[in-house]
Amino acid sequence: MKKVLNIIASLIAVAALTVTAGNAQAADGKNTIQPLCAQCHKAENNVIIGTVVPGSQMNGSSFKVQTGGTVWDVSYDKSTKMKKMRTAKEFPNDEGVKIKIASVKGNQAYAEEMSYKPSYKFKNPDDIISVGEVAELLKNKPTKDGDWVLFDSRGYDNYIEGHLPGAVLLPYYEMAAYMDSLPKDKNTLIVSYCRGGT
Amino acid sequence: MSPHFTRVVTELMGYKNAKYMLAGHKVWEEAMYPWYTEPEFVKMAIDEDIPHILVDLRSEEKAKREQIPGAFNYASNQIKELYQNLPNDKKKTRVILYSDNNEEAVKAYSALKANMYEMVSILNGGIDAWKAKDYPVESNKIRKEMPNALPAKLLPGAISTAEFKKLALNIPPDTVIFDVRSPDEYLSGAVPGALTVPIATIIAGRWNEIPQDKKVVIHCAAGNRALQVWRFMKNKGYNNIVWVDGKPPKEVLTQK
Repeated sequence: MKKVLNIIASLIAVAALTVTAGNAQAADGKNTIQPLCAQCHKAENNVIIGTVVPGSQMNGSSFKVQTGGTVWDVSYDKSTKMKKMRTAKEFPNDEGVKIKIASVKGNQAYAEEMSYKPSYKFKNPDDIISVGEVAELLKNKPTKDGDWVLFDSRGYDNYIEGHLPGAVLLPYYEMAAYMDSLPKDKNTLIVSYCRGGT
Repeated sequence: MSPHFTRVVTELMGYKNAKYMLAGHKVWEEAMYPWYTEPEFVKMAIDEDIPHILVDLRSEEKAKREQIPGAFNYASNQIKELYQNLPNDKKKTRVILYSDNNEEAVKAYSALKANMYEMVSILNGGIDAWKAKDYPVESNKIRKEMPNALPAKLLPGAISTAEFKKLALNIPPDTVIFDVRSPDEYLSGAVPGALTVPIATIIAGRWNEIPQDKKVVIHCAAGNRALQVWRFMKNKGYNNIVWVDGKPPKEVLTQK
């Protein structure tokens, strides 16, 4: 226990340095917050805010969290307090998570508390396009090799029942099976839509 | 889903320019912008008796030669007559328009939308797209007379929220309920006894946790994700499976 307290004490000292440095990095250059999350959340002492690395969450005792350039290996157990979640196993890939850490060694952290920060609640105004703007864009047909593409991110049944003109099916939850539909040129404008709001 | 999608293509896949239409397709339709149905849906509607009114907007002469089975014939200059003959329920009457001329189809679509018909769409690619799928056509059938109302019927594999309520309040031993929402959603209220497996993890591999020897009921918050899981499981060979079309009633959700 004393050892843990010592680690916490040194972490706090490190964090204090970080605060004076005025950035979101730990003293050894590790990021503790994903830049995207940092648009609304502030970096805090002993807190990691980032996204779950796909597939890393399945074992039920640890998972990896990406915070910009740093990947943290976070372990947890029954004593870890959980908010809006019960186990990281049920976490969707790339979802947001906030972790209060009890101890840390290198990139390995032990979680005292974890909470789920669903990314669908996050909206960056620059990423949003209006219905009218899409209608305007549609004066030029969207194509994979052209200036822009239009994707319907719902499922197959929703798509066949009804979709926007020129839209191509690319279900968010089944993306892996539809990779061929994405344009080769990374500068191509990609517009997507779903039912709305989420 | 589209905000997630945008984040994945930019943050993880390196696309530099991605946007999502936050308002969603409902607002798109309400703004009377055109809305297209695929031939696969029309085929399913015919085969599975999904109530619909299919309208051929071409000339009777063309329709007599060949048309999609069951179509009503109102040429693009008879939109007023079409409107007068449609069933009165503007909320629930599904109208699918087709032509060999997209501009005319869009015109008819706009007219019906302007007259408050909510479930209107245009067959994408018209009759040519239908024929390209080798779907059947009929000849020498001209129809004008429409029913006064269409029967209420759910989509294939769907159960109503009322039926779900009965099942959820007393889950039969041969039935298992799957909640495919995300953790924050089911922790704010879930059906006692339901298994919680978020849609993303089902598709990533946990689908094999769904038993094949029981009746499987899939629900989410509104129906879209449940429908997507239903289709996914159907493709995996599951047959004793249904999805809940709509929001689960409050009475069946208990906070965990």
